[in-house]
Amino acid sequence: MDAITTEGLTKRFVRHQFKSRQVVLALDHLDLRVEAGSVFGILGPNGSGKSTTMKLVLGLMTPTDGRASIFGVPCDKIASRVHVGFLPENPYFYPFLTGEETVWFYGKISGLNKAMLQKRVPELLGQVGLTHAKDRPISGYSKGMLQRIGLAQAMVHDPQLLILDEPTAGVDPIGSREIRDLIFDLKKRGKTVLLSSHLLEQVQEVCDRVCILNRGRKVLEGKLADLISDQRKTSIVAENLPESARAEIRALIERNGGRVESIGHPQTTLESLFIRSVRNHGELQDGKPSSGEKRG
Amino acid sequence: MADELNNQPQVTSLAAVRVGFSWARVQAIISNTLTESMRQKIYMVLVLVGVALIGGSNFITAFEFQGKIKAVKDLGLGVISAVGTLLAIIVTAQYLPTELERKTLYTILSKPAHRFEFLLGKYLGILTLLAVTVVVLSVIMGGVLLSRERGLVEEEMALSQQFNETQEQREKRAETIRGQIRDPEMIKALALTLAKLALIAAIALFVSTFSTSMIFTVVLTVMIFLCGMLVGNAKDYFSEQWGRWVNFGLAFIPDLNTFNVADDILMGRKLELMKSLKIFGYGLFWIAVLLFGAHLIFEEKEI
Amino acid sequence: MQSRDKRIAKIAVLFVAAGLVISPLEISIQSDRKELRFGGRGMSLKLREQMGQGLAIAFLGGFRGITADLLWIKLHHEWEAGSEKNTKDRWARIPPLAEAVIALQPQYPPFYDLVAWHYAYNFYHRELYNPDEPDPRVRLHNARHWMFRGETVLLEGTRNIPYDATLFAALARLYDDRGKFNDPERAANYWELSLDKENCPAYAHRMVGHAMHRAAFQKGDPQKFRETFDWWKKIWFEGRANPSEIWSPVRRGLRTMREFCLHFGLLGAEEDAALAQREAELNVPLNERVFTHAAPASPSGWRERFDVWNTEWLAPRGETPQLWEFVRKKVVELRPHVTLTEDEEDWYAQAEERLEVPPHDRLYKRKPAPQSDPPPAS
Repeated sequence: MDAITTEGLTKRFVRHQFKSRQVVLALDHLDLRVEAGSVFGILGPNGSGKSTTMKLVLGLMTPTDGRASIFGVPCDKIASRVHVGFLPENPYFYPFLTGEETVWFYGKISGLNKAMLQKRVPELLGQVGLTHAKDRPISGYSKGMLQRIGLAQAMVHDPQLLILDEPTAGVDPIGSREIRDLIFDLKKRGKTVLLSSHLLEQVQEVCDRVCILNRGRKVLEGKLADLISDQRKTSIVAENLPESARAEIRALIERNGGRVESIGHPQTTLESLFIRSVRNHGELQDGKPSSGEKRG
Repeated sequence: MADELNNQPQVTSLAAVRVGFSWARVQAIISNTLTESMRQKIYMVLVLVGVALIGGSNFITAFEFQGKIKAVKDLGLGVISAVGTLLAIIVTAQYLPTELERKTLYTILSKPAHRFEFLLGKYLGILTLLAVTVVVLSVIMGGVLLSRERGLVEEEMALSQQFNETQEQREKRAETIRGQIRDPEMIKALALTLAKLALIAAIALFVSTFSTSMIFTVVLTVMIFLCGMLVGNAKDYFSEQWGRWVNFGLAFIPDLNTFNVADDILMGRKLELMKSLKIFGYGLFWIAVLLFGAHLIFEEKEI
Repeated sequence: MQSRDKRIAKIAVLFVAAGLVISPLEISIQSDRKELRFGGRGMSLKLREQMGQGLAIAFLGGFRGITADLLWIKLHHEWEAGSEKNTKDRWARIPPLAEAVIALQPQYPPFYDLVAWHYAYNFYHRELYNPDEPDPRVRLHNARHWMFRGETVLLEGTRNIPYDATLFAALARLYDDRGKFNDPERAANYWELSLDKENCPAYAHRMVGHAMHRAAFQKGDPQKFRETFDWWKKIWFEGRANPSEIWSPVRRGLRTMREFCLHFGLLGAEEDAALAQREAELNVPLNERVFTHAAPASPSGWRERFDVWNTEWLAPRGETPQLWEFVRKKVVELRPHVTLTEDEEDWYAQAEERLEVPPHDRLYKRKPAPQSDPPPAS
């Protein structure tokens, strides 16, 4: 069974201004299928309908036309939200509650009892790396900490489906990596994740399928690997290849009718470099041997 | 509903699947609202100002004994009413716009929580806050009255001696003072004040469901509050010219003056239980109507 | 999803329907308020001017009590400031404040009581002894204006608070005041009206008797003596069950009226004997009995009787000479049985002079003036 299904999902906003009436088509007959147990990315420029889609699926808005369902339950029913966790974009919580109190509150809203929460809340706070700040009021949290507490409240009842809107916005690279790892972990556990992000590299790393929206319409949808691969080209990465062998390879390719576009050294990502450097420096400060260094 | 649940995949979610009305969810929202509100500076400031003003009534001396007791009670009730009204309007008015702005509303309503559970939880949270505030300030007022009791009794005893009154007459004087200070009817007056505040909070909540900002909610609620205070006078005035139909014509505005019997009770007048229950019933009716109206609007609100 | 207009219509219908449903209860509550006389007058322009902007807002917020108290404090302050200096200017602010206070809380007796006291006593005396007005008739006229205003305030109070005795008692005192209305008959009426009301003073029934007593002397109407006698008699006999009754004024009043009634034939011997019998049946102590021809058993008993008749002798006179002859006769009868000090004699003589008692009727002599020392021998 699919986690999310939309059929002809449409949303029109009618704005009344004095005597005039303006109609904005935010979403135009969107058909979408999110397979259970997959990570699905929904992309698009600002105003393309991503947030509208999420709100319609979560029942925060009513569609003008079409329908949506979660695990077969129509989205206008409360029952559809039993197994859903949602992290909105730039979340902010009750400033005078502590981190722990916040997660407790959402746990209770989700139907967890006291005994469950006593076990679950410390576990979650540890998972998102906020155990040290659990007694601090939310008003004292940084942007990254707010994202983490947002994730914690979304996962408090261990839902089958997580809907994440810009989950790594404002989070440092280490935090981003941790959230990415978390998403992988969720996928391994059979959870479904629907995420939206402007950070395309991150989407590329985690998503199985993506859908691109523009001006309320679906422009493209499919398996990520299929969409971004160029079938006409082949890349080979070799280690310890001497310079002399390059000419032989070039000749081989040309003999077989191909054309070499470039030969060079592959690049790591700036993010990996950043993480590696910071971790190494941190380990040095702590007096541990760094992963990139040999002491002797 | 059962079919929908049965069609779902085998779930390992920790949550108890409860999609009907859940009092536990409402309680969570009540508790959250109360905690959040009480930790705000504005609440602390208002309560402290209230405590200072009521404590200051100890220094009102421009009255004979009956007047002194009346002055403390009037000021106490006035402060409770003023602080409560400000809280009822300001704290309630900020709930929905702030929740929307912070997107906490999304995180709550994306859980299996009904919108009316959210509204009910918010309303009962503010009601609990108002009740706690009224109780705290009432205790302060009671403390001031009790602290003055001894001094007032001594003053009256001195007067009694001047008039060469008998022991029985002196005891009667002391009993009169004690009776006025420990008058159980004051509880009725305070309860009616709380009922009025509950109605004001319901008005603010109703307005906030369709309002676009906190300021608009506050201004509109204050205007409805003033209309509510004046509608009784308007009915009296216009019904003289146009007959009793005016009462029905203006009936859609709750008459807040109905609750202002507290002043008379504090002067020592008795209000029978049945008559006070009528007033409570009136308040409860309008609160139910306003909450229902808020539910109708909020249920369809695009957020 | 419903259109916006449909939703607005739904909400409007909800409120109108709710209003119609709740109207009967609202009308019932308003009628309860009217019956209990709860609440004060509504806002009017005049009231708004008297209160000022800030307090008008407080009034609209439902804070009648505190608004009234603040105005009351202001009134008290004006009175105190006017008492010290510049009386006219500060005291002129009192009447509008008083009106506003009463309009805000017309159910609070002390407001009427104290306002009437300011008018009928403080303002009255200020006008009566006004150094800026040379004509005594004008001064008296202005003073009496305030006396009547005090009366008006109290009458308004008795209309608004008909269940409380406080203002009835205040009116009675005002009418009874010899320097003001000097109308003990009306005073007696109002004391009597106060008897069945809340907060009635414990002594109110005796005040009825005292006022009737003075009215009887003032009018010289024998029927009034009999009525007064009946009133005292009622308390004397029917009030025996009341353990906190103060008997000496009742006894004095009853004794005086008995003697008048016997003298003027308003009380027959048979009736008197029957009342004596009733006293015996009620075990009234012998030395306290009224319906007896026995002489007092102690000097204090004689002194009590003498004081009663002497008080009447030294009170302002009515128009009926035969009354004063009888009073004089009683004083002369009792005089040998009491010992007066020189100062008492002198004081009573001064009172006779003030009352312009004809010299041949006077009973007391002034103390001789202290003789001055002879001049030193040259």
